[in-house]
Amino acid sequence: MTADHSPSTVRFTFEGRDVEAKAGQTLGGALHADGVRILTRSFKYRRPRGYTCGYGACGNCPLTVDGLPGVNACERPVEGGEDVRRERGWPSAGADVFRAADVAAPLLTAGFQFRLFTKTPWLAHRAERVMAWVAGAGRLPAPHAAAAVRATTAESRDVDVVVVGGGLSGLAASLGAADEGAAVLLVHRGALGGRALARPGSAGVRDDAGRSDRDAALALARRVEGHPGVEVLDGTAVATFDGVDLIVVSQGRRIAVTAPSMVVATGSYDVPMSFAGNDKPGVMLASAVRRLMHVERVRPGRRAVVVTEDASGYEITRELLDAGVSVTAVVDPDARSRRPALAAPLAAARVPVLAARPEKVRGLRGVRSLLVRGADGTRRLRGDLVVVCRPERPAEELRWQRHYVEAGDTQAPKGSPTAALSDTTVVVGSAAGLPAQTVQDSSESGRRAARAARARRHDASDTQTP
Amino acid sequence: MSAPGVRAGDPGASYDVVVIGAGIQGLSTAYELAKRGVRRIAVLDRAWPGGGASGRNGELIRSIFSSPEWVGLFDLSLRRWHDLSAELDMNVLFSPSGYLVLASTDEQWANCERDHAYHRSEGVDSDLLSHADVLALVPALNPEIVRGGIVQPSGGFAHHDAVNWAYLKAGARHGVEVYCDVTVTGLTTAAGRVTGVQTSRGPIAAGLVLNTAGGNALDVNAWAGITLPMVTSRLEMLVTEPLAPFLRQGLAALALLGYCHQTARGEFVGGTERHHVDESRSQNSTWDLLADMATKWVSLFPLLSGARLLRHWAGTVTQAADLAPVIGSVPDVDGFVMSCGWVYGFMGAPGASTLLAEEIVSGTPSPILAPFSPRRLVEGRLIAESSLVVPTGEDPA
Amino acid sequence: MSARSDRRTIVCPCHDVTLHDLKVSWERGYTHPETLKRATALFMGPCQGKYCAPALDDFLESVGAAPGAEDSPARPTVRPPLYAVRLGELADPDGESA
Repeated sequence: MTADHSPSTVRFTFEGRDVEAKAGQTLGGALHADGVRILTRSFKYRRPRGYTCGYGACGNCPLTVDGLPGVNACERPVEGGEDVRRERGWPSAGADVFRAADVAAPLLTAGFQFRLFTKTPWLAHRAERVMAWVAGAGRLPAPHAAAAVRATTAESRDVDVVVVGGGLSGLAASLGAADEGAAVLLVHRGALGGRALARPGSAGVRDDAGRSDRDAALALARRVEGHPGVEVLDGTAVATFDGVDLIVVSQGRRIAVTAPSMVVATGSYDVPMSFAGNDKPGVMLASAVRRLMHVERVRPGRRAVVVTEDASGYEITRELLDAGVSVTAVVDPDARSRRPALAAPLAAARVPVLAARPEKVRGLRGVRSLLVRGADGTRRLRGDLVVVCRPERPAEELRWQRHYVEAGDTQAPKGSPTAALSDTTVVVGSAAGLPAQTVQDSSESGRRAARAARARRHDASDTQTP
Repeated sequence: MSAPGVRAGDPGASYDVVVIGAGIQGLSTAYELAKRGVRRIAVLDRAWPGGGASGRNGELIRSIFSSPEWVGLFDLSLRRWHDLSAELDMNVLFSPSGYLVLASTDEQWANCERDHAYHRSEGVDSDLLSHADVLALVPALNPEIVRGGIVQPSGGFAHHDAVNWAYLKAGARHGVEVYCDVTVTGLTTAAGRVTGVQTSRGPIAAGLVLNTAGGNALDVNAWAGITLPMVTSRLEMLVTEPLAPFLRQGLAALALLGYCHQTARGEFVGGTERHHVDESRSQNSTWDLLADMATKWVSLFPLLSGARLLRHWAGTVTQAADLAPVIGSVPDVDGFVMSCGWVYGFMGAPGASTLLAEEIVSGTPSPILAPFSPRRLVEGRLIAESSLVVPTGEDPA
Repeated sequence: MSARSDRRTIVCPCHDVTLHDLKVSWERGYTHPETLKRATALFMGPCQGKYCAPALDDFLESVGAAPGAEDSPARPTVRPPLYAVRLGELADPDGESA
């Protein structure tokens, strides 16, 4: 790390010692910069786990902060003065004697608890008490921490369009709806712009002004914050229900939102790969690597192996090299057949591209090397970071929930939820399976949502008898 | 196929018994019938086994009720629970950790005292607990909501999926044929007798049709021309992330209209009711109940304020005005037996299925099941059971 | 992929479900996403499927059970909440509900 003369640093206590963080970093970023690679131990086998997805969706980084367990390190900004501890692991998450469970794994396969002690109920009961103690791992909210979580207000809001997700497409849709005259409520967790903030390099695919995703997102965020028709809530969308379009929790406020139209801009999830040892600290999804580099300003590792199933792995390799991370190789099963053109620039940087598949990560407490298998056999690629790049998967949960509400039941006939949704639920961007949707198109979707809201209100007032 | 023991392919053309609904009542009764030598039994379900209330319930088990009818049935069931894993050769994670009924008011406490005396007289294990006793058992409780309670040491909870699968597999070993993704669309009748079912895969003839269709049971009754004063209603529950053990027993909190426990994985699972019955057939969960549950559970266990909610779901049941199950047949409709109206179906299934199967095979009515007959609803002989935590639809006093 | 390799391949980090677990459960007869979920605990941890859903997709494809068809849903029912908020954030602020 180069000398950093930024004026604000904050300090917190991590398992009894001081850690310094840059202002704006998360606990996950700060700990990574501090060299902490093991953030927790897994539930059953007590395997070491570390920074993996970067956006609170993998369960691998829960920390206990000021007595409150289950705080995702990758999402929690450092405020200063926190007491932070890892969960699970005795004597510590760093060195856990219960790792022995990993050795006993063949005996503990899924469903093992249904096959043990069937004929000896008293033994089953004792075993269950032990299991509960081990599973619970001493995690219990401290009384003061639990009390501090309580919501202080319960509010309701009635708007025309509620937009869930303030990434690139959500911002654009909010502006489109507001420009169409709708009262818009935008709900977003964290900094407006979402994961576009971690994409400073790519030329504008999505922005008609040709800006990078990050620059476009920052520009849209400024416009949203200044737009009188858009109210921004920094909070978490909890669920959609019949009669209450969205429940939001935001900084001690519990808000019930009703709105004739909803824009689902929940984005997408990175997709992991299946290979032996794929859960070890140092195996990260692409978004996590980008977040560390471009938002947390932390080098994700010293030496990376990039495993990719599409062009994105080549892009991220470029970013890693620019960030001072050496790249041992790009591993792409389809390198020869599909992406020879992408390999050429890497050759100039002396990064080999291997047509191979990842087979196994080696390393006891984190990545030391990755074994890959290609046509010419197995190779060992050394590194402390494995970057996994696969096409993203839409964050579909809210879309499904709207489908259930509109259909009346979770067990309503299935079929594609996009086909089933009414015109007052609009899905944009990668949540709709359109990761390259332009800002213009997202904005137009916002306009449609606004018009549908207006029509819905009009119908409702028409049917009201005087 | 969707679970071990479920048959691939289509059901046959005729069976001695066709069971509608592969929930715990259907699967356990089918098993008990097969155990007693009934040869051709088919269990049909429109979705996956245990997909209805049987897989959505609170998993609690007790027999400390206040009426002889309920104690008779549920105590037999509780005794079956203790031997169930051994008999079905699968660990259903039955945990006899105790079942605690919590009184928060003087009136509820007086009821506990009275009920406790009744339990002693019936030989049901039950201890009366003072305010201090309750807090000694469950220190995490909010003392302001504790007046006292009763605990049944031999009660507790089990794992609903495991129980459903265990009955399914045990039945299959005895020749029961379970088919999923088969929707029953009607009944075939002739001269006052039900002779079979119509399904999405064609008609099936049956010597006897058993209605264990849970939240859909009233539809099936209607096809048989049977209308009883029953409604379908929706119940909801939530589960948290795993926590260190803080609640060992199953717990019913009368003042909260709620029931809860902590699983072997450390997850807190609990459901509450409002004072009105939610007459809905939808399995969508509601904001009304989520807010109610969060508020009530946090008030009862303050530490839960800091616990992360993982899931919130709903399920449907059918219920009679007295909330007791409706088991048996009605006059003028032969070939048809119902076991529905179960609000406490999970805990009651091992007992009821045994008795019902015995009754069907032997032809001798079970005196323990007799009070739960459908006829009681028509003749206005509702069972008076006061130790329940589900609203009956009446306004509170 | 050997069974040994499958045992070291984690498809569900929340509950340490391995690829081996998934295969064995499928072979045992849990052949529906809803029953696979309950048999393995996939989808039941803090991520509620955000991380493990694609692993299930990959697996179903590998055993020839095409996900997403009309009658064979590719995932279990989506339940609230969208994100694991704490109960204290959802409870009524002024105490017990009426």
